[in-house]
This record gives sequence, C-alpha cells and structure tokens, in this order.
Amino acid sequence: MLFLSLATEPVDKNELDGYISEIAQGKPEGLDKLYGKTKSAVFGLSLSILKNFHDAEDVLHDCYISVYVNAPAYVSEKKPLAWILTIARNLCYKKLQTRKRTDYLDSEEAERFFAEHALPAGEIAEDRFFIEECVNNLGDEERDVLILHAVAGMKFREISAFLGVPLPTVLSRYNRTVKKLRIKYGSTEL
Amino acid sequence: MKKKEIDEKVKTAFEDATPDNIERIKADAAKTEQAGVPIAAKPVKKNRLWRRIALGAACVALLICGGLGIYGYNMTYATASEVFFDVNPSMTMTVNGKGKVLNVTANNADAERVIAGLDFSGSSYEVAVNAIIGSMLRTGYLSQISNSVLVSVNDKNENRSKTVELNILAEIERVFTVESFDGAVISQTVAADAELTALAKEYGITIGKANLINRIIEASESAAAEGTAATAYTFKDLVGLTINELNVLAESLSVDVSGVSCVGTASKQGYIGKDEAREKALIYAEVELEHVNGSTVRAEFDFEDGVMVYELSFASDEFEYEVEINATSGEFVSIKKELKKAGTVGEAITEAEIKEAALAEAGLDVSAEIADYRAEYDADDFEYEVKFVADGFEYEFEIRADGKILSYEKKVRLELNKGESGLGALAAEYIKKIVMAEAKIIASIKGIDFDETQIFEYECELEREDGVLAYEVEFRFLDFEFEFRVNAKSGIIVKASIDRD
Repeated sequence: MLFLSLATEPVDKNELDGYISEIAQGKPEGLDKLYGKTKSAVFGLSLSILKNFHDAEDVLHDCYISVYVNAPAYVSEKKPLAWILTIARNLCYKKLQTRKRTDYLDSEEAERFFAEHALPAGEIAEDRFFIEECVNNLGDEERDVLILHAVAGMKFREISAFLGVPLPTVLSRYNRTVKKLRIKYGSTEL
Repeated sequence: MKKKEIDEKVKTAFEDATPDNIERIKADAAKTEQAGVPIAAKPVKKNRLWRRIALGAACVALLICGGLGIYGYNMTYATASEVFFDVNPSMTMTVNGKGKVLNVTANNADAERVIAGLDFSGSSYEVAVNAIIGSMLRTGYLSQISNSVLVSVNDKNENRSKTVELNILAEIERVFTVESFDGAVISQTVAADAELTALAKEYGITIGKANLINRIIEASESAAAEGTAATAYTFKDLVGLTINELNVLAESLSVDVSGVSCVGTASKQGYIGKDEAREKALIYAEVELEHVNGSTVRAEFDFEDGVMVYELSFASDEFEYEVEINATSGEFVSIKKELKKAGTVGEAITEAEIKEAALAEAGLDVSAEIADYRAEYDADDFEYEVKFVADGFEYEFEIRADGKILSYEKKVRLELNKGESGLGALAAEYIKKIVMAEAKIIASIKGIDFDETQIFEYECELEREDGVLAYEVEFRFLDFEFEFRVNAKSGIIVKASIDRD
C-alpha cells in the first residue's frame, strides 16, 4: 500500500527553484532564503577544495553574488543545487589559480575561526574533529561524495551526475568514507 | 554508529562552521546589476510582407490537407500507446489511437504460454486485458503466493496515457473481483528514454520493469544512507526478481514513488512471517529478548544472492546486530554483529593471537579446519581485517590490533553446486588465470600497459543471477577498475569492462 503515495519531486528542489526565481525578480528575500538553505553546502564544498577558511568564506560570498547576477538567466532543470554548487566549484578553481595549493587546514587558523563561534567547547571539539578529518585525511574523491551527500543532502544518483562518476563508484566511495570516519571517531577521545 | 549518524555529525560540523554573511552579500548584490533577460524577437521587416502572407497561407493549406491524411492513418495503424505487463510472464501490447489492440508480443517463454491460443486482433484493449489476466490466473502465474502485476503505459500523450492506465487498472480489478482473487496491481506511466530502453534491452525485460527497479534502487539508496537498510541495491541484483518480490521489497522500503500507484498488497504467503523470523534471529544471535534494547527487533524484507530474506536488526547495550534469514525456509543466511563503542586502546598483540581471537569469536576450536585465511593489517586504523572460510560459512572480522573484536560477520557460503560446475576446487585460481589473460588483451586494446603483478583489491565472488551461476571478478590496476563476469559452468567470460575511476 505504500506505493499509494503519489509524491512528486522532493519539495526542496521546487522550493530552491522558487527562491531563484524570486531573486531573478530582484526580491532580496529570495536571496535570504536560498542562502539559509544552501550556504553550508557551498561552504563545505569550498572549504574541502580550498582547505582554507578565509578563502572558502570569500567563495561563499562571491558565489551568492554570482547567483544573484545570473538568476534571470537560470533555466530550471530541477537541479538548482547542482547549479549553485557548480558556480561555487568554478570559483574555487579560479581561486586556486591565483594562490598556492595547500594540502591541510592550518590548525591555528581553525582555532581562530572556531573561537569566533559561540558554541560549547565539546561541540567545537566534535565539529573540528569532523571538519579536519574530512579536509585533511580523506581523499578528494571520498570527501566530495560525503559532503555532497551529508551536507548538501544530494541523492547518490544526483552526485553521480554532478561528479560525472558511475553510481556504484559513488556508493562504494561513500561507504568506504563513512566506515573510515566511524572507526576514527570510535577510537578518538574527544 | 550508523551511517546516518556520521552524516549528521559531518553536516552539523559544516553548518556550525559556515559563517553567516548574508547581510554583506545582500548589500553587495544591491550594488550589482543582474544579467539581462533575453530580449524579445526582432520586429518583422515591412517590405515583401505580402509575399510572406501568401506563402504562409499556402503552407497552412498544405498542412491541413496532408495532416488529415496522416492523422487518419495514425489513428488506425500507428502505435499510440504501448502497454507492458509483467508478473513473471512479460508481454508488450501496442494500442492504436482508437483504443484497438494492434499487437501483443511475448517477451519471455512464460508469456508465450499465457497468450497461446488467444487472438487479440481488432479487440479493444480492455477486452485484451481481461483475457490476459484471466489466462495468467488459469495458468497459475498469478496465485495467492505471487499475486502482483505490474502495468506500465508508455504514451507521448500524457492525458491519454493516464486514461489508458486507469482503464486497465479498473479492468484488472474487475477480473480479480469476478475470480475472487486477492491481487495487487502496480501501475505506472513510463517514458521510453534512452537509459530505460538500454537497460531493458541489456537485461531482456520491459522498460516498465526497468523503471520500477530504478525506483526501488533510488529508495534503497536513501534507506541505505539513512541506515535503515544494509545496502543499496544495484540493477543487477533486482533484475531477476519477480514483480511480487519487487513489490514486497518496495513495501518494505516504504517506497515513496512518484507516478507509481499500487492497489492491494503483495502476497507474503510464501514466507515464514516476521514473528517467526524475529524468534529465529534471536536464537541465531544467541541473545535473549530481555537484553534487546527496547525489546524491539526490526524486521524487513531484503534479499541476498537472489534469495528473499528477512533482515532483522536489533541492538543490545554492547552490540548492534543484523541477522538475515531465508524468508521461505527460515534457514540462517548471515549475521553481523558490531561493537558500539570500542573503548580505550591497549597494547598490540601478535598475529597468531589475532587469529585465536577470531576463531574464539566464531566459536571454533583452535584446531578447526579453516581455509582461505587472510589477515590484513591496516596501520592507519590500527586494525586487522580477518577473513576465512570454515564449515560452509564465510567469516569476516575487524579486530583492533590489541585484540578487541570490532565487528563479526558470518555468512552462508554460496557454494558451487557440483552438478552445475565443471570447475571444481581449483575454480578460484583457474578463474583468475583466464580473467588475467583477458584483461591483458583488452588493456592492450585500450593502450594500457597492464602488469598482472601490480593489480590490487582483487575480488572474486560467486553469484547467482537469473538462475545462472557466475563469478563476478573485480580488481584495480592504476586508476582503472576492471570487472568481469565468468560463467561458472563453462568458464566463458560473458562480460568485461574497464572503467577509469
């Protein structure tokens, strides 16, 4: 009987499309809502590519300016998140051309960055553990899949299309990555 | 810890870290101009206007005359709707624009039996449906044990497509009522896009079934990601199942599918039932119900190596369990037990002691006869992955280097049935040999300098697909992923592929 529900596209795609069209009409509240829903995905992806908090913050800013500028030309293919993340990714690559590539997050920088956040120390420790594990210790491919799935909330099928990688590969990367994190988390005292 | 929880923690971490710069963004956006909206088409030039009008009128006249002729032809002879029926028999019916059947073709041998002796020419599709479903009941393909029919309609005209689907659904229900049959009908409209057509062709099924399988895969992916199901399915996994089995799985996954509707529930009369499965699971896991957290054992349908199984999951204070039981016979299929929190790390022990720890966990004597023993140490994780085979079971462990068992898995070994295999005990070596020879050839065609000694992550598994036993071989070389399927009986390579990862 569970087949009975005739659900259509998941709400958020249409919701995001709706915000983009609000932005296209010059309504600033559309930008507010879109930012609220998608900023951590954009920031997560940028941070994982750039491995630098302040560069990622720049990309976060530039990305939404670019969304604002290009919203009138946006043609909905029901992939609003992929559209936004593509913009972010391109901005990251542009950024990488102008500065030296770094392989690790600077831990002092991370400390300063988190100090600006009013969070309990225990939560900061856990947050930092996951961010530093993701950025520093996972391979690019593994991390991309994890962030797109966990943070951006994309389906594996969408990730496969976004990264241009076959679905089984996406799934095995994801499983491998989560397993790694689980083991590491289980054996780390935070 | 479940995948979903890891996902959640990663998500929270990045959410917490994301700065809130919206005010600055909005301020900067206000200073920026948006990209222009496409400008309307250019105005038509004034000169030669009369010629355009005359030419246009001529074209319209031609379109009306020619169009009517084509329209009449289309209504009678051209296929307007394609309707696919799948139970296990699978057939395709083509219907013209007037609702008359043009043709019914059988897609497998079962379907030939169903439509043998039936003449559909010129009849309306409702009448044809009545005859087809009636015949499936008589021939026993639809029964109280397997009661699900899949109807898929492919028609470019969306309205007509929906009407045809609903009319067929109503007709099938009428037959079920008349025959007092408790059946389930899954219906959907499908579009024959390139992906579905290719899948249907590759596996010899209808695009309707291919579409249903895709929907179930999507649902299983999200269920796997949320940790409510063990693994996401692949197309290959599901293609051999009957519609009833797919329906059971779909119900079990709580599939929320767009454009698919179902009337009635899939028959589970062929299975032992969730309650019995729960009892058996606790016995296999050697856990008393009173030690199960919340005294709840989740039971879901799943399937393993082509067999429908119950997947039972539960947890005690210390462990998380997952037990699979053959849904038809109640026999043990597999058990997986994972330690919830590993605790503090101690001193590393020797490899021999690791082996002893594994054997003890499996309840085997030190002198027990075991085969294919493999212990791989991963220095990064400070743990061993141990695998071996004993007594017809495959065992797999994750053991921390200090001897703490992190996870334990025991699984019935899908063994070569002697009648089915001409390869015998040397199978694994023999398979590797022929696969390597083939790999070398296709690698050289692709211009890859293949070196057998440099391959890694080599895996060879025996699987049953569509009733045929085959070895699925996978390995990597550089950044290439090689995949082969070898028929277990003949040793013939039936599929080979190289993918760049």
